Amino acid sequence: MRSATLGLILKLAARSLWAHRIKSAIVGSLMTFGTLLVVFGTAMLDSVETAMSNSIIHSLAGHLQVYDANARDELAIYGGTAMSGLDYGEIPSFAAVKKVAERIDNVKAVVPMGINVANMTRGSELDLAFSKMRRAYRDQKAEEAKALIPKVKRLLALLDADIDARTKVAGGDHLQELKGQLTAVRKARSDEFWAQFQRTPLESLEYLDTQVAPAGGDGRLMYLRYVGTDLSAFTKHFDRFQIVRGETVPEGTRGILINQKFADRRLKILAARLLDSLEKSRLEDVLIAGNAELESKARRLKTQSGSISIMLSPKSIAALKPALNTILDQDNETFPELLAAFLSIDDSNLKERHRQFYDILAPHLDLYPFKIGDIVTIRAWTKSGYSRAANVKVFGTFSFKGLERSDLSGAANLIDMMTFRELYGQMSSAQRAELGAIKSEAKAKTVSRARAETDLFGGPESDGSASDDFGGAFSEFEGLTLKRTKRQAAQQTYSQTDIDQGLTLSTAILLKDESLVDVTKAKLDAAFKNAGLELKVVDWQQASGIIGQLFQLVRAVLYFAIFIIFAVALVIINNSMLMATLERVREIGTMRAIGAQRGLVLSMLVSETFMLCLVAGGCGAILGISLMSWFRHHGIPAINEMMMFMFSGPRLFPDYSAHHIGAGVSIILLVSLLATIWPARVATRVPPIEAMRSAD
Amino acid sequence: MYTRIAIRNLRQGGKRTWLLGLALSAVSGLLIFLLSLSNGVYSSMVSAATTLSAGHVNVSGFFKSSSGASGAPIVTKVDDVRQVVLDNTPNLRAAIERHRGWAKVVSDTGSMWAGLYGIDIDNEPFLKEKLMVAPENEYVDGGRAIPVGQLADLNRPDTIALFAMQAKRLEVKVGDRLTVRTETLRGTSNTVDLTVVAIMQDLGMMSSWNVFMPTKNILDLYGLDPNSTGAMMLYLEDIDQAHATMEGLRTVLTEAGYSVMEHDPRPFFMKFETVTGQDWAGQKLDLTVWSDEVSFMTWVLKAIDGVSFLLICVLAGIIVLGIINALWIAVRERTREIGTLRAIGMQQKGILSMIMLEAAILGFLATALGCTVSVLLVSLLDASMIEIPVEAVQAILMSKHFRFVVQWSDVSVTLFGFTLLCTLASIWPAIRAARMRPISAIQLTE
Repeated sequence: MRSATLGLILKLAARSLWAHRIKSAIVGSLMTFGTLLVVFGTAMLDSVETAMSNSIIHSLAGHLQVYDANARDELAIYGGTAMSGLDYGEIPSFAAVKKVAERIDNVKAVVPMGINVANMTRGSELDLAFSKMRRAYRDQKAEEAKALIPKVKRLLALLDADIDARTKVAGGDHLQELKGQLTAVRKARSDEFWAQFQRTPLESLEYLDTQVAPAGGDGRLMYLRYVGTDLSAFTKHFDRFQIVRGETVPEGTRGILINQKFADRRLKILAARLLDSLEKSRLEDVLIAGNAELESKARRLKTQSGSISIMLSPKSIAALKPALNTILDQDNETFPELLAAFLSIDDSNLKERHRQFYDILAPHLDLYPFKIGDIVTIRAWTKSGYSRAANVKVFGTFSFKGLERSDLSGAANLIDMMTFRELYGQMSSAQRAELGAIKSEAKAKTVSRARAETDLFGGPESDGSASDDFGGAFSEFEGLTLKRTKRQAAQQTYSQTDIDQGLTLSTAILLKDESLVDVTKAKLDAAFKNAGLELKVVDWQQASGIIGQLFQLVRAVLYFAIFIIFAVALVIINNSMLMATLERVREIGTMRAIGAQRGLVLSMLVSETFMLCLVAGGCGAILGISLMSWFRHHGIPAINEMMMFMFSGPRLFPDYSAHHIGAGVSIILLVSLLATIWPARVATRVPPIEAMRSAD
Repeated sequence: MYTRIAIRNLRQGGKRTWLLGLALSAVSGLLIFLLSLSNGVYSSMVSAATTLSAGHVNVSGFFKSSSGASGAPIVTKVDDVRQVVLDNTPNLRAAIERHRGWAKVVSDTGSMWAGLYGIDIDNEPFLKEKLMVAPENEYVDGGRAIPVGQLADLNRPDTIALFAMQAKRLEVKVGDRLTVRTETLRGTSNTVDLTVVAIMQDLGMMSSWNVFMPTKNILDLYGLDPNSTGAMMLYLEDIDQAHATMEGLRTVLTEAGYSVMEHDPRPFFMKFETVTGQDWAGQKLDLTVWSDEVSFMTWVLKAIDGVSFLLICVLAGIIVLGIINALWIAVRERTREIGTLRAIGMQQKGILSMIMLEAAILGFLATALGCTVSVLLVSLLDASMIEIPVEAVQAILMSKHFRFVVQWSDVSVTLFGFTLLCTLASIWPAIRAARMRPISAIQLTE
């Protein structure tokens, strides 16, 4: 086309756009809005995806996760939709995976992992008091032991009331059992018992240990979700990991690291949690007065005075009483009343009381049910439904950088791989040796792993026949090994070979170059296949479970919305164009009469759309970019914990790139050109004679 | 007369009217579609919740042996509580009692955690009515295409009923044995062996973690006194009366001397922590309505409604622009006609009414068409029971199939709303038309 013709077409198009200003403005505004929506929507989603991938990859998942290809469920590091506990199979030998994966160029680290849920206990108060007494007697410190007697008596009185209350709701064998316990506890509370205690302390302690302590239960149980891993490799390669208190678990040592967020949200004493939550709301400028949830929290906080008083020693109470009296300017109340008055919170005293609680009260309290250095008992259920226990030392608490306040990042605690395997149901070499000795002593038979359940615990098909080698994989001989394991486990050490040679449930793979994730995934797939390993390799989004799925859902909803909006916009634009064309029948007829070809008319209309599209699309893109730039500069604050996780920190600084702008402008161009087809067809069919007819 | 002129104008508008009408129909149809989907999810949620885990009103509670102890989710001395509740619940259709528990369910090849319901199947009218026994091939590869087993067999001792997805996971069929292990909060564990008597069709997410067994087995597992229950589930003649009934019962029970917990709109298993941390011992009752027991799922409804609202707002904006544009051009096109009408004596108000009426008629007819098509479409979709392809979405929407429920109030609001929107959108073009001076209007076109 000659430039003169092109110039003419453009001039005609521009003139026409101006002549139909209202139509141009309306169609143009639709185009602007459409472009803005695409540019802003896709750029925001991509920014959130990048941030979320950072959260997930560098805290728990790694760039890729490898797990059993035949697993019953899909891997879900942050949990799935089912609440029944996921089963994502197992990889019998981590070493085999490591060997294959490390041969791939882009692989930086290979870390074994397994997720499980267990409960943790530090033992009941009664248990702790008895062991302190026993230790004191053993160390010939009779006076120290005697000093503990009032506390033991107080605990026994509480236990008496507790069992007595439970007998009122119990039935069947359980009721008989409780009655037996009650008799034992009451005997231990009698004056005769304590008189006897003075004469034969060790025998009496034996009675307390064997007859009374079991009635006290295991103390407060805390449920925790944990990831078993090679802790040294984990702390080295997951760069968001940071120790908050204590230290990391030394190499080759058994231990657990508690997630600080989990400890604060779930384990900390209730009074502190309520106070923290109220203070958090205060910092967000939410007042207690008028807010039903906060008012309820404030009321509950006041009821905590009793449980706090029980936790305090007489010495602490003596020290705290004058301090609280000064704060409250009161003098004659009992300590629990004084404490209740201190914990009466409203908007006017919240800030001050929160500070005073941590400055004055907290030093006298155990805010958490564990102390760094404590040995805790963790009890988990194996896949076959049997409970296993292990003793581990709490080395410290940790968090993930930037995600300190996110609940989701607090979803898992970290435990060493050897303890994980033990709780999962796999035995350590020491246990296997011990079991071997017991087996030969008891002339036990060897059973296959597949038939273990049937052969050991009976079943319709049980014939008791011996089968293939045990393979050292599983044992449900919980009762036989547990006691010894409990005593020794916490001190046991292990080597890197021990970690490498055992089982893992999944394996995290961290890459040197993040951009090559798809290529590396394909390479890994092929390498595992060649090595004869039936494994599945998934990216962070698939591995994250419900979080990844929800994000995909949000994306699908946005695309659906964009599709619907553009479909409706297409009809409206088409309608406007058609009406404009019909209005110009005379003009087009005249053009045709003076010799304009159909091609010229078509070019004119398409140029019109094109020009409008460029201007409106450009405006939309500029608006989108400005909005994104503003957000990038100021950041979008995360208003809740979920957003904190999605934003990978307290604020999201979104970014855009050329392809977001390209996508916005291209889509609007396509839609507009589609909307022009019909009007253009109508226009090109206008015969020259129409010009004269319309003029009539 | 105005109506006649308006209809004539619309007909003369031809393609323009049709296209605009089509866009309006599409958007109103889409709105009805989204609202029906939201209603469908709501209805699935009510059905699943009231069948599986809650009555319209629930009287449950916690028992604490000492102030520092963990709360057990039971109501003790239930004979007395039952009497007060039954005497003071108006319009009661049925009352059932269930024990609750949480346990590891173990088969020969797998295990899972599940919420236990101890039930008396002979006193469970809704469970028998709403739960269908699944065909065997739904959970066993190569199984028969007929349902095997029956829920009524739960009246036999040591039995258990599961859902298809659980049976698949545990690889069990009717007649197989399962071991159920509970762990009490004091760390001791109890076990019972049960025979599977029925495997039911799934009911979305909630059926993944509920199993049913005779009450006696729960009593044995937890060593409970028979004069206790987990929850009294009250079914009313009208579910909308649930809140009022709950409040009434709260007053009555408090006056009868029971200690009743503050209303906490969460399911019972989310309250353990709160109850454990409180300074009290003994029995406290907890009253909830059905939606409290599934409050962790109501975000789905909020999300669907939120997205629908935003989408419809944007689309309505686009439609308004379309209407303004269409009428604006129509007014320009009909300048001569309007001029003539004014010249023969039609007042400004008349022109205004005519144009607005035109928009209102278009809006009404197009919306009515869109609503009709959409209602037919969603009814067809609902009847054809289309299976939801993704399991996660099944879980979230609480149903295996797409459910759509049309509410006539939604249709009327849509019809009225869109007609009003069209009328309002026509104000500006109508004012412009009405302000034309008759003489200049005629002159302009010459």
